[in-house]
Amino acid sequence: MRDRQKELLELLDKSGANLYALLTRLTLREDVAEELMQELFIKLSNSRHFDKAGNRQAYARRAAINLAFDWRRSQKRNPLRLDQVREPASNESSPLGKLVRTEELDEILNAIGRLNRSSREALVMRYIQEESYDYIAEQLDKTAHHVRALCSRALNRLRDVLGHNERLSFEKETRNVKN
Amino acid sequence: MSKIDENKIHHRLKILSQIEPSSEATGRAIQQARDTLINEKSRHSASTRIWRNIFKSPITKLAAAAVLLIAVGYTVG
Repeated sequence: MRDRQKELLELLDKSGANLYALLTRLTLREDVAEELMQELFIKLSNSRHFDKAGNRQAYARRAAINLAFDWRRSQKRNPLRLDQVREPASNESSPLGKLVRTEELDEILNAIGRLNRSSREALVMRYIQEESYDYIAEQLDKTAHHVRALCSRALNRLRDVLGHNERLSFEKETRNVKN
Repeated sequence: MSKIDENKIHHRLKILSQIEPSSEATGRAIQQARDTLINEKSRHSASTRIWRNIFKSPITKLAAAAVLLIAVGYTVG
């Protein structure tokens, strides 16, 4: 157990900042990312599979991605009340721009959450963490060619999901104008 | 099925990739995770210590056996 704690503390020193940035990008909330960061390390500390994982860093990142998307799903089931809403993490300066931008980012993140786990992980690593195909392939224990195919399929699926959302909102607006 | 322009998707993904948490928040998150890990460790060793003490002392060992017997008696009876 002591070895596990020591390893986790080393992992925290080495990858803590990256994991926290990843959680912030996937939740768009620094406060939530802070909570999930604690939850992540508790999970890793109690996980039976952590010791068996060949690549601990990859294992921790996968757990972080799963935690963030689980959180997003739980938010859809229990939407926040207005008084619970905290400032989202965004680079936009005007409040309206920030709101629109956050909605767009939420929409794409929710669509990413609907992908299967391996496509989701590959897409997050490639486009949100901006890692190279070779590095992702090494981390996921796949070939670079396979990772490219996963990312391409994932992007195609996102186009379908977001296109469908856009069409629905257009139809809704048209109905509102007619009424 | 209608599809959204791929450039729009890439644009949104690019924005996501550029989000950087503040250094204060990062430091705080790492410190909290460290504290949690250390507390987990002490919590775990405290609970192990309690159980070890229970099974070391003959009186508590006897009491634990009695409780177990009574529980079995209730279940059977």
